[in-house]
Amino acid sequence: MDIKDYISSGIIENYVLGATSSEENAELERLADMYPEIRQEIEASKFALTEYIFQFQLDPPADLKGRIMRKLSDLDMPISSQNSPERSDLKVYKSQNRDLWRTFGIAASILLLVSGLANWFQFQNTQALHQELSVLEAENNRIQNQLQVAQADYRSSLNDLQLLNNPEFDRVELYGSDDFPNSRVSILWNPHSSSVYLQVLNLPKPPPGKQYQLWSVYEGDVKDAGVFEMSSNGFALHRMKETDKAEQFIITLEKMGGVPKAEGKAYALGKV
Amino acid sequence: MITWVNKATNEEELVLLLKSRDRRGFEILYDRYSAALYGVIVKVLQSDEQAPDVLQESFVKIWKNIDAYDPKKGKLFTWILNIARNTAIDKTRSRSFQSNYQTQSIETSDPEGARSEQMPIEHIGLTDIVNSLKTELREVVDIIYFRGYTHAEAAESLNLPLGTVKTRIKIAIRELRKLIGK
Repeated sequence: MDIKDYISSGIIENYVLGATSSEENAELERLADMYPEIRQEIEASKFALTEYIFQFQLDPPADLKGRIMRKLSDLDMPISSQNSPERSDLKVYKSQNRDLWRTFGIAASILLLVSGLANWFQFQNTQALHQELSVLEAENNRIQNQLQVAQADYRSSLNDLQLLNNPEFDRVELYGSDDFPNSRVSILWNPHSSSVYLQVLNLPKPPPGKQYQLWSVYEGDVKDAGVFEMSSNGFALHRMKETDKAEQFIITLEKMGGVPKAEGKAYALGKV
Repeated sequence: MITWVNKATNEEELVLLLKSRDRRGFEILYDRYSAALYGVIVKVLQSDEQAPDVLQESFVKIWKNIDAYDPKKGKLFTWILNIARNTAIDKTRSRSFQSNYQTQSIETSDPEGARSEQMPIEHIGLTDIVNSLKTELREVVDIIYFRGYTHAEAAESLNLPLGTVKTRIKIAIRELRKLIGK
């Protein structure tokens, strides 16, 4: 390349003015390292421009130096020891400390709130549990009662079953009279123990103030065997008065509580 | 302890002081070059209103970037001069500056009108060197150096062909070299 042509192209002058591209700058730097003439031209041009620029120099305000030096001292604080660098660090530390306490405060408040809510829920929960427990206790009692009733019924039924199947008992079937042909009553009688049980299979519902009464008949002698209620629980066995001798059983409708001597009509009768 | 710090400190020593962030180095730098930098800043801003702030900003940049200065790549003054000049040019391109100096702004919306206006007459006493340079050469140098225009922007602003701008730059620098005797 022709150095003289390059020098006279004007690129050096433009370069010192800062009016060249970065590519041109790079090439010029490279050539300046290779060719001392180019380096010399660059320096001479820079010097001339600098001299020109120096012509415009102007004294800054008198107080500006102090201001700028203070500014630089402020910048210096983090590294130099002469300007109490700890102060800013201290501020940061305090600030961090404050932040820490504020964080603690917020955290404590949240914990308190959560704890309070938890207590409230616990209380509500306990109340609910108490109520539930009461309901369950009542339920339990009710079931216990039902169980006792059921057990009583079971024992009764079991007892009845044993009686019905007990070979010592004679079964006496009572049938309706001509007036009440549908009546049906079973009598279980144990002649050895004199025990008598009565089971209503079908009888008209007695009118108010009236009650059915059982009689035993032996050799023309009629004896009271006791009154019985028409139980809602059908087919229940009613224990009647002990009877050691009987040829026949009769059921009459009598006034409430029964009578010593039969007065009413016979509803059912059967022979042993 | 550095004992040789004084007005006669050479540039090499000065750079050492600056790189070690020695306050005395910056005092020397200020004493030597603040007027030159301040003059350039005022010329770029075309006002001394914000020039003190820009000079301070320039010194802050010098402080922060002094490690990047390589003496092999150029003289210290050239380096700090570029910092001050670029800081001032950046200022003229900032929004706040443009709102204050709308009519003088290089970024005005009327390039033909405002950009083609002549550089304002210097409010400082011009020396022989400046006066000796022809106006047509000065305006090219000034618009590129002090305003940061590119060739193309200068050509457009001065209403000249691009080649003429480049030629005038070359001539202007050579004239300056003659004027200062180099």
